[in-house]
Parts: sequence; C-alpha cells; structure tokens
Amino acid sequence: MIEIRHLHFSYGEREILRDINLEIEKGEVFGLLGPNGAGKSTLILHLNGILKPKKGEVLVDGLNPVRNPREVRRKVGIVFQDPNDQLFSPTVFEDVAFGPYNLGLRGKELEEKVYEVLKVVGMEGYADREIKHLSFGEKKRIAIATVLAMDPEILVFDEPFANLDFRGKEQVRGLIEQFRGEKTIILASHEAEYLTLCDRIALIDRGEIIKVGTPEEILGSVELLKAHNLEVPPLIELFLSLNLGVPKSLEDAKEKIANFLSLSTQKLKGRH
Amino acid sequence: MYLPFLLIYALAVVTRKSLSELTYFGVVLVGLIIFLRPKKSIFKHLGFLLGFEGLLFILALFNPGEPLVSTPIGAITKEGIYSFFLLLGRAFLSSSAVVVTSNSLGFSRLLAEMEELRFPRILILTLAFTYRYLDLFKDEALRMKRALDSRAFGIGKREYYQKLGALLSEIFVRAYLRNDKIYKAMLSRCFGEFPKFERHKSIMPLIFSVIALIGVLI
Repeated sequence: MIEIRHLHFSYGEREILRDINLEIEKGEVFGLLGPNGAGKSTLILHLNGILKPKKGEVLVDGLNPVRNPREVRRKVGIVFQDPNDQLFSPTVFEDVAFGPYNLGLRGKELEEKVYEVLKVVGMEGYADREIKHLSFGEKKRIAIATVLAMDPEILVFDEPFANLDFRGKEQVRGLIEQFRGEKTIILASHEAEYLTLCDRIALIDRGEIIKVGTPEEILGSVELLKAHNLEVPPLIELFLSLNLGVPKSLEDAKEKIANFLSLSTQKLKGRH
Repeated sequence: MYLPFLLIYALAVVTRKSLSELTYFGVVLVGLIIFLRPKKSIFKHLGFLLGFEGLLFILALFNPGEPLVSTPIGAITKEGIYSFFLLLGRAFLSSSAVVVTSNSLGFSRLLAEMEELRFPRILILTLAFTYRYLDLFKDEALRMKRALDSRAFGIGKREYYQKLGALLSEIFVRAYLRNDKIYKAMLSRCFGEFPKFERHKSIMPLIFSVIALIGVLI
C-alpha cells in the first residue's frame, strides 16, 4: 500500500507539488491523469525516494523511501517516459541485468532472470542486440523488462503510451493488463483514453490533486477534463452523450453498444 | 582476447620497413576477416578508411628521389610512391584490424576484454556511455541543425555559424540534462555497482597473436 501524506515539493521558489494526499491500495491499477507540467513525474519520483519531499511524507508498505531507499526501490519499479534515459548500457542483456545485479544476483541465476523477463515482454532473442539499434517501441518494452527483472511489487509507468505507434501502445497495454491483480500498477498519463483500464484515477493539475474517483467519475466529467486542459476522447464523449457510461475496454464498448442497440430496437418495436 | 592481439598486430605493422613485410600482415588481416566474418557493410567502411588515409599521405608521393611523373606541384618520385604505399599500408592495416574486430565482436566484448586486462573502471564506463549515447547526441545535433537550416534563410554566413556554435553549446546543456535523468533511472534500479561485462573465452585471438609475433620475428 502506498500512502502519501501532505506532500510538498519545490524546485527553489517554484512549487511543483502542493499538499498531495493519496492512498493506493495493493493490487490496484491507479491512474494519474494530468496535463503536461502538472507534477505527475515529480510525484512518481517521490515513490522510490529519488526526490525528497520538502514537507510531508510517502510510505510504501510502511517504509519511508528516503530512509529506506534500497528496500523501497526493490518494491517500486519505475518505467521512465523516455527509454533512452532508462537504457544506458551498450547491449540489451547488460541493461536488463543491471537491476538484478545490484540486488545481488550473479552468474546463471542472473542470466536466467534476464532471459525470463525478455520472454515476458516478447523480446526473446534480443539479448545480444545493441540498444542503439532498437526502435522506440522495442526500447520501451526493454525498459519495462529492466524493471520487471527486479521483481517489483509496484510498477509505475510514466507516460507509457507517449511516442508509440498503435501497435506499440497495444503491446504496452497488453503488458499492463498481464500484471493486473498480480502487482500494483500506477499509470501517469495526459491521455485520458488510456486510463480507462484503471480502477481509480487521480486528476492532478498545477501540483494539486483535483479529484480522485473511478474512471466513470473522472473521465465522465467532460467539463472537468476540459477545464484542466485535458482532451476528452471522442469515443468517451459519444458514450457519455448516449448515457452509456465510460467503456473500460474495446470489448466493454462493444457490449455497451450491443445492449444499446437491442434496447433501442425493442423500444422502436414497442412504438409500432 | 583480441585486445592484446590488436596491440601486437598494430605495433608489428607500424614498425615494418618494407612492403613485402607488410604483405604478410595483410594476409593475417584477410585471415582475421575470414574468421570473424564481419557484416558486408564493413567493406564500405574500409574503403572509406583507405581513401581517407590515402589522402593523408598523398604528399609522400613527392618525396625526393628518381622522378617518374611531373605534375604542376612537383614530381612524383619512385621513392615517393614506395613510401606512400608503406605509410598507407601501415596505417590501413593497423586501423582495419581494429575496425574489423570491433565491428564483428561488438563493442561490449572489447569492453569486457579491457576489464579483464584491468583497465581503469572509470575509463571503461566512460567508453560504454559514450558508445551508447554518441549516436543519440549525433541525431539530436542533426535534428537541431535541420531545424536551424529550415529557418536560417536570409542571414549571413557569419551569423549562421554563430547560431551553429550556439546550437552545439545547447547539445552540451542537453547532455547535462539527460545525464541527470539517466542517473535517476540508475538510482531507481538500486544502483550501487555496475555489472561486469560478459567474458568470452576463445583460443583464436591467441593464435592470431602468435601469427603476428612470428611475422615480427621473421
């Protein structure tokens, strides 16, 4: 469980986070929705003690990341927005091995771990490839593998869908779905449509939590999203105008449309 | 290990005094190419290397000696041609061996060998980071230059080069900013120590080293 209490953070005079209070349950898929510069990435960096709060505190399973960085970093794996920041070794193998090596894994055990996580992200056979020769989507998946290699209980994705093509987005989405229920997942994004898979969403803007609620409550408030400079996906707007609620996935959307059509047909038949 | 072989080979090649001696080392290089089977694109690189080094030593053609062809800038001499090919041979063979080896084995393998030879760790890591990020910064510089070119119409050359200079300094700023992000990413993966680069064991480099040493002795 993650508890954030009265968290304040500033760079010099510039206040980035103001009195953030959040509780994220174990196994939850939690979304952080906010426009660019809202403070999402800064908040994320507090979860494993990379940044230290100016006021307030963060607790991960009761541990303070500032006082117990090693234990917390083992629990919280962050996938950064730009995989080029995350992948700093010459080859895929070396980069994926970096985290588990620092956790004490060596030799065959380390090798097995690397190949295992590469398989999970569908990148088996890439171990000896040089990172600079990979596409952006491939780098993103390797970046996820580098974090998975440390077996974190909490997976944090900073803008996981940014700069990815449709296929890349679907692959990352599939990976996130794969870990649902198994790990606590935090998704930070400015794209509302990708947060429909969350159990709860926190809307953050100018360093403040505006509202926390279910995807229906947050994404269903079109005025709220527009007021905070967030794009309302046309599909969600259409569903809301038809009083169908926010679809969680494509399957859910299909089901909602099918129900709507059958109800409409029955109504029309009743009239005639 | 290929690094000691490269060292022996380069030292042997640059100290040769005749073309016939260099031919021996040319054969060793061909053997190395056949054994390592580098990608075909390597030959393009080698061709470029040959042309570049040829240009570097072109003035050697005009060394004093028996004139063969006269040109507006002086006479090309027999001795000049000989020393041109000798210099070119030395430079080309030694640099080609490095290019072929690093391209075929991968940079990571050479770093592992440096580690095994107990080169300072800081040097190895600096090389590893440079290798990883050099292309990225090159791409970034190219993108910025394209952006500059697309808007730099109607300005003089002097002003253009001033802007280009500012652009290059911006690259350093961006490198610094990226450095901070990379460090954060490393910390979030419990950074304490860098993994040792994977070691490979092969007898072939030893065989090539012995062949190169035989060449020196002969």
